[in-house]
Amino acid sequence: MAELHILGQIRFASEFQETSSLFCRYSFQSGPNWTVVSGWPEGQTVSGKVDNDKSVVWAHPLDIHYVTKGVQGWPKIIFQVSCLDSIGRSWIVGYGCCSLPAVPGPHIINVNCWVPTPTTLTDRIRQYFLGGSHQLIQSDVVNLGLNRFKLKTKSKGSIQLQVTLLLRNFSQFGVEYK
Amino acid sequence: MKDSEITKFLVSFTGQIEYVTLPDGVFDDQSYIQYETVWGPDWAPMSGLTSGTSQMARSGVDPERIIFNLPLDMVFSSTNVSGWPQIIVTLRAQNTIVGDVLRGYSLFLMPPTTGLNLTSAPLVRPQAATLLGEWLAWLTGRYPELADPKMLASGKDNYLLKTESYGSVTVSLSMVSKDLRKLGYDNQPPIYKTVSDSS
Repeated sequence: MAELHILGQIRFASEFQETSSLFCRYSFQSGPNWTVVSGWPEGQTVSGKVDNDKSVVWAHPLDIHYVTKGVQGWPKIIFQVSCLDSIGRSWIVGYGCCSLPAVPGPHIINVNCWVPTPTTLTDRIRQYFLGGSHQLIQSDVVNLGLNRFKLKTKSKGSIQLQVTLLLRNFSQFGVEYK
Repeated sequence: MKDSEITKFLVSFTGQIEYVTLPDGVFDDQSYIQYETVWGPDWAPMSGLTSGTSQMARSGVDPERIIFNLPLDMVFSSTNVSGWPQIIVTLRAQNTIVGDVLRGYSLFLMPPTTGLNLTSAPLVRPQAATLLGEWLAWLTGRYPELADPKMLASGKDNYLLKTESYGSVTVSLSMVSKDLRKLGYDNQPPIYKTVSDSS
């Protein structure tokens, strides 16, 4: 069976326009052919304070080992960014998803994020003064592209991901990626 | 040895921890760094120093930069890529009033591709969990520290640690591997990618 190693870091989030500290939960999603042999395919970063250049450093390590029987469902990474304010409340400020490249070697990936917007005026006023946000009940909208038409969203910042991919024995099974 | 008998590969990392950049300026006369290396269960160090401490350094012409030029040289052997070595750099300062204080932690992944890599990583400092702790840190000049900085390399069980970032550490490392490709691993980017990245 072919193997895929994902090594790297979730480096930072930038331009999120939040004043409180941010953290993110991430999870890797892959097709039924893929199994995780070692590593943590989901997790949560530290909660970082916004620094002088408006970014939040997470520097969260990733080390995941996949074994696969087929290329369908190549791994994707899903992010859910939340903010944590000074009195300990937290709410979601961004969703993002990106498919990992099927190319060995180092990559720098910017994942652009979005968040559902308040739909009514009262919600908008409440969120402006008190904080809080709408969140998705079914979070598979993030990685599936279905049923998105009625969703109203707002653009948020981006997350920088630095990963190196190592592929093993793919060419032995006739997979052509180069 | 026949190709079918190869079970483990060797990787060698050589380079140096070049410098630390603190954009607000360096206010300590004596700064030093410590590095530790963390690796997975299938890995074993073969030679070289996997942890160390630098000299006491101060900034020069550039008031934002402290040059350490601390050499790194290690060889690892492994049967599995998972658990690739990472370095944790701790920047500390010695100060006549408060003594030895923490300035930040920085986490690097050793380069998984061959060739020379110049990378920089941000310095991260834990923040006190309570307002009183924050106030005491400000008053005494001693910031909270991690009991075991190696937890940063595992990425789990951080229990929503609050951090702030400030400055960066720059490391140049070159990697040479042996038998990694014979074991079927492919870590080299295709030619079209190396051309488009460098242009």
